[in-house]
Amino acid sequence: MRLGLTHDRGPGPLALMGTVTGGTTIVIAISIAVLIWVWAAGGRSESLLVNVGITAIMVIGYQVFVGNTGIVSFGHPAFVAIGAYVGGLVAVPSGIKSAILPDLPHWLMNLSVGFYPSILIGGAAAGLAALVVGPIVMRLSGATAGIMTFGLLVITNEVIRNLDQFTRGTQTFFGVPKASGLLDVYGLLCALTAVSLAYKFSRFGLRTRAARDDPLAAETSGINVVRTRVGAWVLSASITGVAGVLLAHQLTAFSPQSFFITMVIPVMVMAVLGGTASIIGGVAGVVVISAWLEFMRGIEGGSLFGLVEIPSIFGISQLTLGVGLILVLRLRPRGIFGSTEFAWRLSGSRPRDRDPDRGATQGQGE
Amino acid sequence: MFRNILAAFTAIGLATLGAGQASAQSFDCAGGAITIGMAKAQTGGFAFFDNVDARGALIAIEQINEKGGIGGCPIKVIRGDTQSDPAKARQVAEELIAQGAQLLIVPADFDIGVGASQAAQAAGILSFSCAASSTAWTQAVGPHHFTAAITIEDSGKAQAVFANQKGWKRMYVVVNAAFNFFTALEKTFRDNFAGEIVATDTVANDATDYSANVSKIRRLGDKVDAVYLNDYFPHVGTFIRQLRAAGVNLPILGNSTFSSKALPKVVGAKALSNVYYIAQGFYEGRNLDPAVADLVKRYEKKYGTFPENLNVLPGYQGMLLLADALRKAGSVDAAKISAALSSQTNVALPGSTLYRWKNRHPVRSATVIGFDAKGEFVKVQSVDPR
Repeated sequence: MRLGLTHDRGPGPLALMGTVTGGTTIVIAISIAVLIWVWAAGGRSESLLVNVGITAIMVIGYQVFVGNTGIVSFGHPAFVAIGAYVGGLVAVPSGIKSAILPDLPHWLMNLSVGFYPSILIGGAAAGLAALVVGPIVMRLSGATAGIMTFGLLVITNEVIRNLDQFTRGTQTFFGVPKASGLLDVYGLLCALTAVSLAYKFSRFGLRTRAARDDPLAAETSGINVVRTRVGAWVLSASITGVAGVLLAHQLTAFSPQSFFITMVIPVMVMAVLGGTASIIGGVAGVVVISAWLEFMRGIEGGSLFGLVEIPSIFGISQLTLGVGLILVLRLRPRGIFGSTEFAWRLSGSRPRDRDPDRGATQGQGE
Repeated sequence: MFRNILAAFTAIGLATLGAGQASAQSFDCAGGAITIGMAKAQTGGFAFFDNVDARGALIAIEQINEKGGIGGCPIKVIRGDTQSDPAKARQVAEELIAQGAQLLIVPADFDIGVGASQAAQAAGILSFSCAASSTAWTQAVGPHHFTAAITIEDSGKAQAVFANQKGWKRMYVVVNAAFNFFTALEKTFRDNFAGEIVATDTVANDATDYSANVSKIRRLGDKVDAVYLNDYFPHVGTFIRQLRAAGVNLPILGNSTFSSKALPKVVGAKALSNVYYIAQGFYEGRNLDPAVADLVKRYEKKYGTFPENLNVLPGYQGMLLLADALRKAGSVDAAKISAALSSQTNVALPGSTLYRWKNRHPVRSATVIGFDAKGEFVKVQSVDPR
């Protein structure tokens, strides 16, 4: 058995398993490294790494839709918001709820569920919202669909602002217990990586990717383009919704303005840097950019790991990030990982080296 | 003779009081300094506000240290940039606590600062937001968090008290509903205004043309006594210009966000006659409280600019309140500072008065600010919103 890069999986359930477990192994390894790091540092960078883990789940959720359908989405903060508000609402203890949301219906007032049930409910709510609007949005293609997703974000934001009874309107929603632990976030990250990989290499994912590359040919082959896209959209929204619930349990207080267009930009940048068509690429994007921003934050703060004192230069992290992004995309226009994923292969078996995203054969040695 | 005896007794009395103060002044100065962690936005969208109250607080600290610190214990400040990001606020707060911060100054906004205050609460230290005006924040965190700026509710009440004193009976309300600050302010104003609200217009946050609102107000003619303009600069500048250009010279009542040195430049002195707004205190014009004048002078010297916005005063006053509480508490123990803060009553601060604390947010006086014939900011009066 060996771990290598591949563009697509081979035939048979064993190959599917190899591809799903391949990427997941890497993410599990990263997660274990994170846990050991925090444990060794006495919990020092825990908040930072919880935030990074939540961002990674957002990026994976984003990748499931954008990577598989090729449609750019600006609307994903809407699903983070739905996850956060719904998951948050059901998790707020009843005592606090009666103080902050006095007009709630009786049954909701007395409802107070634990951390994991709230994650399920929040994720399901985001998925349901996506299912309702999906058939409309997914008829569109290209830039039109992208703008439509933005419209969706605006609508969601306005609804939250005006649904005072449930959301406190423009006021800060608070009272969500702080429950997003490092182990929970990274456990979910590993599980959702596996789910995303399984989807990408399942027949449903294959159809979606086929419709992305050539909708006409896909349709001629009997693929329902809208339906395949809705599948990716709903799964993507649910994963993003889970990230939203986790964020609610990390921030504990938030307002509608927390979930707007500025939230999707870093997620997009991470996905694009790592390779939009690759899940492991998304994770790589999160690791690279988070590490860079953290490194530059030390420099902005006027000291380099407390060793060297230098004058503080604010804004340099954003500046260098922009330059770095341009450089990476100049050298690797399709992101660091392109469309490749990690996969376990039996020693000796040849990898599939057809790159479905280029439609051309490309040597990919082991 | 009698006078002399009285003077002697007074002198003895004062001396005893002084001795009493001297004993209370002994501060548990373990570590050689009080380390205050400042987790505030130095970059990002909120930096414009957060930086200014941080600077106000830093000037107060500078003055305190010039006089020998708190009971002989100097204040040391360590800073971290929250980048206007709620998630980063907690992280920065934890880092500052790990670096030895004994109490935290946190951002001026509930959303952006809540993580920082919770990190402080979890570590058992006090967190203090000089310029936050939300009453929900202290509720969300627990017993060791205080917000120190005039609450939105008290600002709204002060507006109503002033409007009632002015004898305005019919008010035309214009509100930017994009921010909770404005909607909450308007709600309290409405609840406490004795007169009648003639009409309410909601304006968009990105509006630049108010001709529809202006012509509605003009058409109502003398059926309106005053306009309640609940938006922020630069929007209000545009609105006032358009209203005055249409020949409407009604009084305008605004909020603390009107405070910008650019307002008279944009609108012109003539249009600003009969424009009033309510703020925590007055720092924009001449005839200032001497301590506020000194604050402005130091700010200009240190940062090369007139204070950019209204947060300078809450930042400065907040730090003075905190310093007083530290002095009384005699240590950085969160429970002791909390008790000392909560027991403060009728504190005359440079620029305004703190009456008392209620659930760890203040009840304090408001100031009405207007403009003279030259378009200079002038203090009109103080208002007790209670």
